[in-house]
Amino acid sequence: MNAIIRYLIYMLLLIGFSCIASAQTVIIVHPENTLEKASRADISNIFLGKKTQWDGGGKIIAVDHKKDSKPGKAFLDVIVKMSENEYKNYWVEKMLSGEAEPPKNFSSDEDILKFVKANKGAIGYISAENVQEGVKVIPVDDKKEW
Amino acid sequence: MRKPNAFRLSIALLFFLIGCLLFNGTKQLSAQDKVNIYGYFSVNYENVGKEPDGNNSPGEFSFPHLNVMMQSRLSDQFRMYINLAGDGGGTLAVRNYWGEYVWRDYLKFRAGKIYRPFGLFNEKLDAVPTYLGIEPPELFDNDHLMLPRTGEVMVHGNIPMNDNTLKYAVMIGNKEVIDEGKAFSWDLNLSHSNKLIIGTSGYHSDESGAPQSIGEGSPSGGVLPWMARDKYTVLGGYFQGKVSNLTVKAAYWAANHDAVRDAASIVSLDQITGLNAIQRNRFGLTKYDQSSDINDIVTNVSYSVKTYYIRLGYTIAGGTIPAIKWETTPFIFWDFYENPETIAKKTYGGDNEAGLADDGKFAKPTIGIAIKPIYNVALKIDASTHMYKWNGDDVSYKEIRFDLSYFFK
Repeated sequence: MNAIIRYLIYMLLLIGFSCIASAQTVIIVHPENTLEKASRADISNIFLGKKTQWDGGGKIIAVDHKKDSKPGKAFLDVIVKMSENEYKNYWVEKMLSGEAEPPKNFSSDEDILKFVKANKGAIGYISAENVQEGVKVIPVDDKKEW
Repeated sequence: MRKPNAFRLSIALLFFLIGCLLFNGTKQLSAQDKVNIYGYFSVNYENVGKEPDGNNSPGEFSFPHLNVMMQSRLSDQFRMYINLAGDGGGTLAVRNYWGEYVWRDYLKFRAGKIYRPFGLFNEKLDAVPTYLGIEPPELFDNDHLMLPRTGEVMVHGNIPMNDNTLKYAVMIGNKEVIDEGKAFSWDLNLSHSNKLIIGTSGYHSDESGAPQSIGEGSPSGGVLPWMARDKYTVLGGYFQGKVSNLTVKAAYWAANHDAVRDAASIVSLDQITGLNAIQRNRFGLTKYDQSSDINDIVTNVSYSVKTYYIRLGYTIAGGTIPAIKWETTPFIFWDFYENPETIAKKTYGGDNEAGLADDGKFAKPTIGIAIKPIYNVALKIDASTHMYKWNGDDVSYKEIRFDLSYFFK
């Protein structure tokens, strides 16, 4: 009996650790940005070019991650709720009609951190484990990580 | 007179350069402030089957078709856009160009030569690699445009509200129809989570003359070449919905014309094109012959042009090669168009389908497939049948099209 309980505890711990270990994603902005929290729809509207100005004024510069990265996949699943092809098609259509400009693309968390630190109007998303000083994490629907 | 392409191209490039000079260095520029150049190449083939009146066109192959777009952000609130298009013959034309000032997302001002926001397609017809099918809906088919595709000044905006976005646009001006009185259009739509769009658009043109004379080809707006003047309103609604992998697009449009024909042009039409009995009846030529008085021709005319479509596509994602995210979309369309005031010859401003039909109506079912091996390459093949009544019989003829496009940036 004890062996079974021990086994179950080990299993629960294993599941818990694996959850912690899996890369969670966070939204980051420049520290001087007055934004404190946002809804999923707000972030989606920014990355789909529907919202291009911060509420306090100034242009929003959205920076995108490679879509085959973990933050990129999480962004598609949780924030915009599109497949990779749908997201790319969406932006090709917007570009060809001149309707909006796509987010700037980066391939690593480091590049996104560097860009957001250097640009007041920037917003991006990276793995929670790579957050550094010099950026502000914005909870989405009251969750810091997703 | 329409201005030559070289003139338009020079004006557009000048417009772009002056904008760059005025703004460059006068405002703090953010990291996205480069000129962004992108566009697409496409190869297109169309083969029209033997038409009921015996006309048999050879297949048309266009290679390569090139669209180049340039966008430049000159300050946080000002951007410019130019769209150049060229066909294999080496001619380069400015499709549209504009500058835009964004005060807030809900209030933007755009001036230049602008595609009119009108329904689901007009602004996106140069985005060939992205939309379902190859042919535009009948509303914007170059053979019988129901309204001009471009305007000059636009106020527009979008208001995001959680997962819903309200978009509006009001536009004045008209680049394609000369001697235009007042022309304005509007568009209003509500979208939900990129899954649903429902909207309405309208266009009104005061008394205006025809942009082309008889023999100069298809009109570049809704006014036919044999009209002395025409006052008309186009109104309709549109819908796009996505349920899982299924996309549905539908729209209905009606253009109500209150026009006055030019009697001399009708005489020319009769002599040049050989109107059939039904057309002669429509044009009020039943009692007219060489010895009749030109004043016998009925000139005042009120008529409605109507069209609708429903387009369905089902996207199947994935493939046998997991590393390549290809997708395949079989699609079917049903288009309908009706114009009682047209003739059969394109060259003289008519339309080969509605113009030949006894009642000016035709239906066009289409079936096809779009294959995207990667997101920026689209291969499309489709086949349509034009169906209408001619000399009392139900007749039809077929068209097959092929389009291969590559988006670059």
